[in-house]
Amino acid sequence: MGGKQVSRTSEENLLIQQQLDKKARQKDLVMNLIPYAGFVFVVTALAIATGGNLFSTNNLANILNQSFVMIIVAVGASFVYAHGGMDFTVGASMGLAEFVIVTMILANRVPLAIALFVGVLVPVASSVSVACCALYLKIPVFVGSLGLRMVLMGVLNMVTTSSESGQLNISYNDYRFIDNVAVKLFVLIAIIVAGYYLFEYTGIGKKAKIIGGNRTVARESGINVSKYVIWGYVFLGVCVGIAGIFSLFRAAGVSNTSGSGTEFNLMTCIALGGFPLKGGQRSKIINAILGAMTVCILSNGLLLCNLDANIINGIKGLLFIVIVGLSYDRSSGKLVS
Amino acid sequence: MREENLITAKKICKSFGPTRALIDVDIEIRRGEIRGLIGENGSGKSTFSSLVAGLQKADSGELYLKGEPYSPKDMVDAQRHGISMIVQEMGAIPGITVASNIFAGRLGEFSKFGILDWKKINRAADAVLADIGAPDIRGDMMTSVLNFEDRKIVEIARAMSTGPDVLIIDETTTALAQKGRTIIYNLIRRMHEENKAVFFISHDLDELMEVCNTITVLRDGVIIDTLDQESMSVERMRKLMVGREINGEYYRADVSGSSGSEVLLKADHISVRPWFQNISLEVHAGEILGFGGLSGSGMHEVGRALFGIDKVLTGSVTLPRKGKEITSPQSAVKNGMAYIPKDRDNESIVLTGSIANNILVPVWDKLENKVGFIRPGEEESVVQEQIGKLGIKCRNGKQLVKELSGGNKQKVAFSKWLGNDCDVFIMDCPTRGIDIGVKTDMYRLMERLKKEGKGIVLISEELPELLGMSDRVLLFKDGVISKEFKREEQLGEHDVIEYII
Repeated sequence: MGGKQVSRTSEENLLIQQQLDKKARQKDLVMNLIPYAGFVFVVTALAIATGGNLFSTNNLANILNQSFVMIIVAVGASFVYAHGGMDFTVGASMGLAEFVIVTMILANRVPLAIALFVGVLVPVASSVSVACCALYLKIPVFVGSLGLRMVLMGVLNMVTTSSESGQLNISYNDYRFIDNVAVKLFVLIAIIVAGYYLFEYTGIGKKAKIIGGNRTVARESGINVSKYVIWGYVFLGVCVGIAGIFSLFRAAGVSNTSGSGTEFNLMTCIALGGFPLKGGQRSKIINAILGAMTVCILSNGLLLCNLDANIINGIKGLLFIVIVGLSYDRSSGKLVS
Repeated sequence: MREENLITAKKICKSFGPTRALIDVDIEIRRGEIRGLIGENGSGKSTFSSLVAGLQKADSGELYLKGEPYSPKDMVDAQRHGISMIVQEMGAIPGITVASNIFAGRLGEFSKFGILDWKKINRAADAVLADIGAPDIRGDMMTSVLNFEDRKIVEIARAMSTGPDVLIIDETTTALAQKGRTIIYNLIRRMHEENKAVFFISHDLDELMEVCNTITVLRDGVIIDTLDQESMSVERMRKLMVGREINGEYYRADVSGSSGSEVLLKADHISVRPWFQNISLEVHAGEILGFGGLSGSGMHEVGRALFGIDKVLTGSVTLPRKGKEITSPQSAVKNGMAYIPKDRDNESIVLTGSIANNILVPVWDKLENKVGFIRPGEEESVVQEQIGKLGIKCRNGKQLVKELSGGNKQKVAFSKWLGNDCDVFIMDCPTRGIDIGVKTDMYRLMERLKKEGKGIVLISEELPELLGMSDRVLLFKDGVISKEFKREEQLGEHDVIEYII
């Protein structure tokens, strides 16, 4: 027995360590690149399947309009998903925001700006309610937001179907200046820049990610968890409100289906973009945006292929399961808290 | 003695991501050998034993069992080859009988036409239990009625039920009291007499000296040395494990307590139900105030209440220098308090976060400018300063905390407060589960903080540490302070123990 010599020199060991580090970095890189690869794959496959129609000028405008709403909502949702929350009320609250704005416009008593402002407050209030259910009533956010979604859906259905036609319309041409590519691009860029700044360079985003990583640690390190959770929901609400304004003036009216399905589309965006569903440090706003674009192009392209909308929803649902199944880290607890 | 090797390992390598757990490990275990494996946390000792027990697979290198190539598919396969393991954490399943636990995964051996012969199973279980020296536990008992120690014994029975040639014991004895230890020591002796082999992993160097006839020291995945009975000594093992001389001054060298006169933290008649009632205390500048007691004594909860995590039912916690009352962790952090929780991985650090973000959590508020902007450059300089100051072993600040060893994780937990310029520290078992090298670093750090005039509350379940580091000790029993001691040379563990049990 006795002493034993290490059989490799320290240079060789250093080399092995460098190789292992490199391998780990490469694995990390591949994991980060998968959502981009998915985006490229979806675009390429659909471009081929539609014989290039995907890129026609007309359709590109369609894609912009559709992804515009989804990207804005996804940017707002980043703040909520980052801290491990979720919100199923966004579809119904978007519809209600549109209804409130339309009603105020038709009543013709207040300036447009005030109508829009009040409209944005509706989803803010709804999302903050979800936050409060979770924080103060200690209801799991999944359950609380699902319950509130049902309430809001009911209200939306009730108020929009009270008129005979089942929908409230405004003149498209009067508000054409809002449904305008330049305005939309400006708003889109402004929201992305603001979102990116808040998410990556201020306490709001940084602390949200810590809360998502481990709530107890956040609390015992002096982070006011409730405050930052509510901030996240406020930002989501504002984004949902803004998205609602633009979809309202595009459709020139509101019905009981306005905004419907946004909540589930949003989850698919988050998953497909590679944004971690449980939040935490890997959360990046760019992934939410990427996911929104992927989902919108996917829906649009499949529609161009003459697929039935129900089948498209089915495909998105299956894709959601597959992506979550592949990417979800099962080692660290439950998906839904 | 036959000179036959039971287990031969040749150039075993194993890495987890970029962390190399084992590097070219060669080991030969002969018949009759009781081989101790020692090393600091993260040295690779548990990794090696789990390879042999079939829990993991090596990246490269060969294992031989009795001269035949051996690569177990899983733990059951390893057992079939005659290798059993008793692990540190895994427990017996409480909802089923003792016999089902002992023969878990192998109950099929007792079936006749698809029907299990429970009488036979229970008889077999009783025989195994009697054989290892625990006839008071019976096979038909529900595991849930047994206490923690007896459940551990059921696990030992499971490991022994296959009559293994090699028994691996991974830090089991730390969890056991006298009864369980006696059983394990008897089994080890019997394995030796029957010319079989035992792998024994423990942190307790005195225990290893007593039990083992050979000891292998691992450090950073490499075998440093193998000691036989003549060359074994606790000092030598300690030195080999850490890789440098540990001088005698493990704890503080000075024998008399000292502190400034200024009160930094004051608790006035505080209570938290059901943990403690009517506790009053003062922490002075430059003082290490020790809390001693059992885990149910309320001392941990007093620490939480001092930091504002648990709301006090009566009384108040105040910082006289700032004239502020502590009502929440936010107010504590804002006013220069720091808290290091006992449960490091769940309460102290975000495992999935980077070192940088963990260090920065309490610091961000200070780095914000008027519009809330936090400059990445300023973040980086805080992180670099702390990594350097505490000597955190890592690639860079972006490395994830979960990849670090226990000691380095604890350094991260400390550094987030040091970067925040705190003057009162609440430390709940700050050296729990970390190795000697980092432990001494932590003790020196506490002394430095004391010299800088900080106030420290040291909550500890280890009496030597408590007495070795504190200026003043408060002993807790059943939610009240049962005794106060000042630091003095004669104070020993036996003076203290009657006030905590």
